[in-house]
Amino acid sequence: MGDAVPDLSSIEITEPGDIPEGVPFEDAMSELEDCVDRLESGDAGLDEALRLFRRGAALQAWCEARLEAIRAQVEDLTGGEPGEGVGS
Amino acid sequence: MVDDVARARVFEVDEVVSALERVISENTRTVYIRGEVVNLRSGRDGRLLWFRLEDPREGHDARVDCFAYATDVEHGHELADGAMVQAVARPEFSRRDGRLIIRLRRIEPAGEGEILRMIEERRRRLGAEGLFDEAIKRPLPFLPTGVGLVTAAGSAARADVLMRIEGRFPMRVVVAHAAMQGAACVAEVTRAIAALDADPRVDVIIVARGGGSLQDLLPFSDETVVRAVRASSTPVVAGIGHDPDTTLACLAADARGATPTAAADLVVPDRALMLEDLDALRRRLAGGALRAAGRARRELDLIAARPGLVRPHDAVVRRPLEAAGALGARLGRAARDAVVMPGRDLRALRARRMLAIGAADTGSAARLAVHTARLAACDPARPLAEGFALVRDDAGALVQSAGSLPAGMLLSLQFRDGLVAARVEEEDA
Repeated sequence: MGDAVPDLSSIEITEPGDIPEGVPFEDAMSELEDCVDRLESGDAGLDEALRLFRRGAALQAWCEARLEAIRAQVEDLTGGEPGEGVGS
Repeated sequence: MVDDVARARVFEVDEVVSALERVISENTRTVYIRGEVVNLRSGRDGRLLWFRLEDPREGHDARVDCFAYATDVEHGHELADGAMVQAVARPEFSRRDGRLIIRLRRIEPAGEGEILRMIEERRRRLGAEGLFDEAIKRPLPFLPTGVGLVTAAGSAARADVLMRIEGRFPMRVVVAHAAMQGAACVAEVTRAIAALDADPRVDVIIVARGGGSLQDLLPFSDETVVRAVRASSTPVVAGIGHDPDTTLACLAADARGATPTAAADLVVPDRALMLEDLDALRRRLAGGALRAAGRARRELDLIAARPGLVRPHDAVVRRPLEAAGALGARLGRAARDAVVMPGRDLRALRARRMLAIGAADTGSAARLAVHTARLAACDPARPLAEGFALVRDDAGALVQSAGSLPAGMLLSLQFRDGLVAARVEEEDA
């Protein structure tokens, strides 16, 4: 059994799942670490392992997307031109 | 009493003032005075300066009006509010203003010892209020949404902080320029902190200034600045001066770096390290899932192969087992996908790092780790070590179903430490 069973590709690992918009980055990160720890402990049954993996993968993708989305932007509150070069 | 005053002679103002002038000049002498400059103003051409000198020591409230010519300020020293100075003082009675005023000459910064003592007194007083307590320090955001920067326009500190943020994690920086020394410093720094505190894009503020003389840094030990740091609801990180310059604003700040660059390090995490951490977590996640899938498959194979569990219990046992097998397969597949297809930027990042340091191919290493985990999961010796046995029929083929075994067939059972022969007594009922 196993590989012969269809529906192998239904796991969406980039789905943000139910990670709310305003969740702090560090909270998502520590939940991800928690998922990994529990998965690695080997105590989780198969259903639980799958759940942990999906949740972890979603958290990981979410964290990475958050980091990727951050862009450099230097603004001068006191009236300088916006987007002025860094390190001037 | 007033009535007793002789009215025989009425004095002109000039006569009274002249008398006062005489009294002052005959009964006072030139002295050396020390105090804090307050309320500094200058004439239109900048040649004449007026200010008050105050006794900055705790519990002393004496103050006196002073004036000086700009040329009386010792070369290289700029007079500013809050500056501690010492000077040659000569009291005068001003005819035009009708008041006592002290003419100062040879104005120079007060001695360091005096300034340090003044700061120490202030530190004790504000410390007694709890302004420097560790317990009230606010935590810095793990990942800032935007960094506020209070610094002088065009300063080296500004360049240092921006360069460090650019290098560690390019993100939004909102700069509020302020004079970082001199007369305007206290007011402008206070205003800048408040402005950034009110800016919703900013969730941590750096106050950055390079090292300087004790006099230059004096505004950062000003009580107004100290209170502005504590009044901010956004955490404030001080990067003022270079060790061991420590100002009271540094003590009041929620965190402080020894330099502006060190302050930036405290505020902004290292993007490459965070991505590496995330990548490592992703690989561990996938590895854990692969092992869970492998573990499940081994157990299922062994259970499913047991005689007596196959045919009569199709509905009860087999279908759940298959469903579990499917779960395991999906888990394994997803885990492999998760490892073999790393994030786009991560790959580029890793490639760059490899070019830079000539490190081993970590992508290959990751795949190797997964293959190793998969191999380990498939190792038939592992179930044997746990007490399971492999069953082969008389042709040497692995027996996976009890249904294929006629009574009387000779089987070989492979245990961890060797083979034994066995015979099927009776077929599955």
